[in-house]
Amino acid sequence: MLCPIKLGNEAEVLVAWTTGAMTPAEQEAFEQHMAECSACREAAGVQKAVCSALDAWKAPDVSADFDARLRTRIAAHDRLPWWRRLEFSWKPAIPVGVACAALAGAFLLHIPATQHAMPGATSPAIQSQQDAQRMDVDEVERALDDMDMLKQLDGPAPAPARAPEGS
Amino acid sequence: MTALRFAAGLVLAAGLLSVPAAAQPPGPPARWKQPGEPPSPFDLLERLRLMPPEQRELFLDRLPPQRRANVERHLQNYIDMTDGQRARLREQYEIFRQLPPEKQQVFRNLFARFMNQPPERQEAMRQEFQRLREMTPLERQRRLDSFEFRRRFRPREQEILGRLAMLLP
Repeated sequence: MLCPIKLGNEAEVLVAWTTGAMTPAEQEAFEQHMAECSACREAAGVQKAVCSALDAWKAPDVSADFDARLRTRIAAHDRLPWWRRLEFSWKPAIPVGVACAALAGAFLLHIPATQHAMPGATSPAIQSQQDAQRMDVDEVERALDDMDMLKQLDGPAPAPARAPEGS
Repeated sequence: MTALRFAAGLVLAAGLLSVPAAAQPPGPPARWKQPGEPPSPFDLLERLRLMPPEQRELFLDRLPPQRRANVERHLQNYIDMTDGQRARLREQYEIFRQLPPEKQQVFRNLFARFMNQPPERQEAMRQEFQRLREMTPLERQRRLDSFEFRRRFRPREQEILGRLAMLLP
């Protein structure tokens, strides 16, 4: 088995191992790997300790009369006339108002900036001349190299001079 | 209370829906460009592509001859692509760009090792990489541990493929 830590997917493997989501063959392979790999053994030990701690943790009980008090409050609410149930309070309206104002502000501030940032918003001839002078050549070169790399991993490299394939 | 929440929800939803429609340019970038944010390298390439050739020359003239030849060749490949190919490349490039710089460098180093393999092995590895890329992390691990994978690829190829695939989401 290839080391999950070296591959960078140790989280998935360790969770699958501690939760029993692995097939018996995968589990055996991982356990064999742990016997040889101290890093994986240590990570598995930590993961197991966390799981044991979570298993041992008990949520605190609710108070004995919780259900009774809840039912009383529901019944009291149901007995109110309908207009009291729709009781209006300004308290929740304040954060909603602030959120709307912030949203409106962001809307008004954002649009001109975004339109300005869109390519083609100014005259294309002037912009392209300015671009040609200001563009970071290193960045363009790196981007082209990276794209060429991704293209080659995605499919067969194009034949440069249209040479017949397989020659 | 309920009516108030409903109204607030409507106001927020209307605001959120109307902004992207008004401000987003068509195409893959799903987030807004912040004022002053430098353009994506992909945007720079698009500008170069759409420039008149004489202005593109202005840009290329700033490069020393050997680098210029390399950039010119890659740029021409990029210009010759169809819109669909460019869109697909952009999608993959934006995913790659989201990796932290050190992982991008690891990816480039692994690619250099991939390019050192014989052409027929590269083709087999490329096909396998495409398969791995479509899988979930656990499926990938299963595939990398499978007998079939080990049978088809040598240990060095297994390592390159495994590490390359794990760098992508």
